[in-house]
Amino acid sequence: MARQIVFNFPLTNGLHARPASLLQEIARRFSASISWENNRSNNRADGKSVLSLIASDTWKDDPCRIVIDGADELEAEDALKKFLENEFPGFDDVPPGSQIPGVQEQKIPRVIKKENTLYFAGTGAGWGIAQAPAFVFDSFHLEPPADADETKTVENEIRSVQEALNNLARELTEAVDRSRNQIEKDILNAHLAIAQDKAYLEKIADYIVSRDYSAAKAVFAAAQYFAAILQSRQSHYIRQRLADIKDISARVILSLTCECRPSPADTAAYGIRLTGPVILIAESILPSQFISLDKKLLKGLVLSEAGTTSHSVILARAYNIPTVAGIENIHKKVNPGEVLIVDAGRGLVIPAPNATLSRFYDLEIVKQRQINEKNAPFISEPGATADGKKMETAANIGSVEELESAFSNGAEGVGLFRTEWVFMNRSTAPTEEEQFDIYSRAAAIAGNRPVIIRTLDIGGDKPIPYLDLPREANPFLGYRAIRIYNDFNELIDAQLRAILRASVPGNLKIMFPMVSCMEEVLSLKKRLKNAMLGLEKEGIPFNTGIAVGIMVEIPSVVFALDEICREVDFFSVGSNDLSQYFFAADRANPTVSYLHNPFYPSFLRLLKKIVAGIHARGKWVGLCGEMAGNIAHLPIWVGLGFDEISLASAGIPAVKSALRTLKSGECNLLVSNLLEKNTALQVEERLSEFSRAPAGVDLITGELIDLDSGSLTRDEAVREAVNLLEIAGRIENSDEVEDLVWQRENAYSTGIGFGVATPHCHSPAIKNNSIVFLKLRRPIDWQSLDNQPVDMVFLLAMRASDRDKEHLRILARLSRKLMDEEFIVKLRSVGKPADVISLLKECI
Amino acid sequence: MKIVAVTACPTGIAHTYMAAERLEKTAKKMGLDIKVETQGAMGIENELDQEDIAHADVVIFAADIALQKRERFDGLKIVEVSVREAIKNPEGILQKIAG
Repeated sequence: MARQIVFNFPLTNGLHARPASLLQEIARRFSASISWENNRSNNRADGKSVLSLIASDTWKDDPCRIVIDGADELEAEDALKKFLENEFPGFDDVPPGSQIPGVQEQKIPRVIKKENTLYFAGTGAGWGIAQAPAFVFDSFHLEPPADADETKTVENEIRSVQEALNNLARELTEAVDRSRNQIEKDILNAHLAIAQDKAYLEKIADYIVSRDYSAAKAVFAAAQYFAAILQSRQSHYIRQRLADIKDISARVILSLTCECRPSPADTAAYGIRLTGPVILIAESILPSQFISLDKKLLKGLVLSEAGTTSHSVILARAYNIPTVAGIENIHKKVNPGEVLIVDAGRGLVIPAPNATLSRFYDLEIVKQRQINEKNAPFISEPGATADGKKMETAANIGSVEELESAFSNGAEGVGLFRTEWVFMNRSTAPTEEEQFDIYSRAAAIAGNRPVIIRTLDIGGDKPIPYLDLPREANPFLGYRAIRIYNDFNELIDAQLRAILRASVPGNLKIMFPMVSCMEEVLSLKKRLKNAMLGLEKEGIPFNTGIAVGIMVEIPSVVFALDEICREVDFFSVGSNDLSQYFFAADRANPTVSYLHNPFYPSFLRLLKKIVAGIHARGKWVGLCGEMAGNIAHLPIWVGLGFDEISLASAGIPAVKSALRTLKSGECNLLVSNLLEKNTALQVEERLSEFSRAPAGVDLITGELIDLDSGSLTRDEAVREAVNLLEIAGRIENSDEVEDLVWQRENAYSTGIGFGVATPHCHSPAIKNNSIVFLKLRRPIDWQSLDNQPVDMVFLLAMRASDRDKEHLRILARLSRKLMDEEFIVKLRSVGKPADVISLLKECI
Repeated sequence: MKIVAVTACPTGIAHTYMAAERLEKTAKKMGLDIKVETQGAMGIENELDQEDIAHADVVIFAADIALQKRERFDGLKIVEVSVREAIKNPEGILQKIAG
């Protein structure tokens, strides 16, 4: 008697590759036949084939039925039910690597509109600007192979396909082992699943048997068959998996028809061999093609087909290649050899840029370099305040692949290595060896720098098939993190052993998440001790004095510091979770997000109690969590006395640079003052007052003055002035502020006569009130009131706020002063930026 | 002759004050008595009070936006110019008034 499971399909992204491949793995454990029926699309799929499942075109809320028939049908039903109930709902999470922080809303800089330039807009992935000749690659199209000789037999053809698929699977398995990049590994694994897919081989065999096709032709036909099915699917995500099927089929056909049997790394076989720096233009490129491209020569990538979640785009981002995707038929619109600009941040591609555009982008590149250079001195310096009080500045990472870039951004260590990704998105637990490999790589890259490895921190809200955690009403208050450890001894002990083994040589530390009481600390320490004893017995070396710490996330810990400090070496405050548990406010719920704000006096007092309590007992305390990365909050962290802050590594240079502007004594006073406030608003106002630049002095600085400006037009001069604001860190987005200045400029020219122009804007987009001064090498037309060209430009940028009266007053005085010819003559004769500043100070 | 004036430009950062400065300086050069109120980003400054207005022979509005408290000048002789004009040619404006 067959069993069945009836349900409505729950996933927004449809039945895509990841849930399908796990479903298939479970189905394969049973001898019973398992079929998936979709009553909306009327498709039936074999539950043991990924391709067949994906092809069922299953979409959210589709009525579905799984029919299980065979000896072990009851067990199969039970396993599938569990899977559907517990793990399925988590699959709508975005896969790692496909969150693309570089993607922005379409923003066209003014110069492109003004120059009436031909440009293509797509979706940018990654950062940066590239300029290089186009290399147009007509993407791989599966060509029907010529029919083989008449001597073929059905058996021979099927055998050779099987052989080719087996070889390919072996090559892919080896490639997975070789790969040092997690994203690359995931993609290779997805390919492996296709090479081993049952429905794929059956379809090929079917063509060989029923149509008398040659092996290669049958592979081609099968690829067409699945491609046609996937192409018609609603989900963008599934359509993008087309490239994976084409990739595998192409390689099988190649190995069937080509005597040379090229290795998969030989891209020449696919037609891409780079001989110089290029921007690669293609309809799409196969992930295997991307992997084997020479990344030194690949300056940029532009694709017409793939979206930002395609494997090739994810790879491009992992390799920092400026990439724009989703420009239809781009490979037909660009001429080979033509110079192109790829602007990944804005998602733009500009063919054959004219001189103005080239100058614009040259300035953009210079600007980026200057911003990097400005922060560069702080990258190698230890994190410390102006008066030398150290605050270690460390990185939060999620994979060992991020370490190199964390250190090149100036991380002094890793304050938080989240190990969740080591465990997620796989069907079996990572082995001790796999983990040892990961943690030793981290230790080797870090050298003497500390790496705090947080042990598994996971609950029922994250799908991990082999853990089979129950879903709960309140996953964040329930069975998660260390609370599950006693039920998963093998898994956790493997992690602890792997960390311990990786701890010599190096500076690894162990941190336990979500500790709430002393009993848990003792139990975790006992577990660690046992792991150490085991290793000792086996004669395996490890750091016997490895530092052990806990996260401070649950407020109860704050009232047990006395005893816990006797047991652990360090603490790290997880600000987000601490705030969530302290205020009883779900951090994912936007309606209560107002409570996630470090300005509440009660929260500040809690932090004070934590830091003071830990320091009083001679222990170390860091801060990891989103709040740590906010530069505006930095004076609070310094004043509270944290030994370390740990944040996303891209923000480290800016944080280190901002730290150097603070004095620890002033921050201490500030914090004692804040602790006495009554409301968050009062705290925020006091902090804002503290952070304000003193009036007058800071309106203009040397870096806002260019006495030898090469700007050739009014547009360029405005852009240059706005760029100086961005380099100085006074605005975030040059395009936006440039538009604001032009809004005013378009009302009527700010050329006020005497060769002076005063473009200006008034907006909250300005972080600090500023004056920029340019002296132009060549006078330019500004459509001034007196029709004379302009050789001096004052850009006035103001915050729209009541608190800025003093600065507004200074600007009013400057404006009046500019009506004074004597002043203008003096101004025109200055030779050094410092003279401009002192002249301004003297006169206004 | 006693003149009062009000200057106001759209952003209120620069031109309001430039125009005020030009009117004041030029009037001084021409031996005219003037008081200029600015309506800028800092609000109304050097505000014209009842006494100033009562004694004024003529009012100059050098403005590109609607003025605040305009009703104060009801019934008086008013000359309206743009802010640009006040910066560019204050002599012309004042000469016309002074006759």
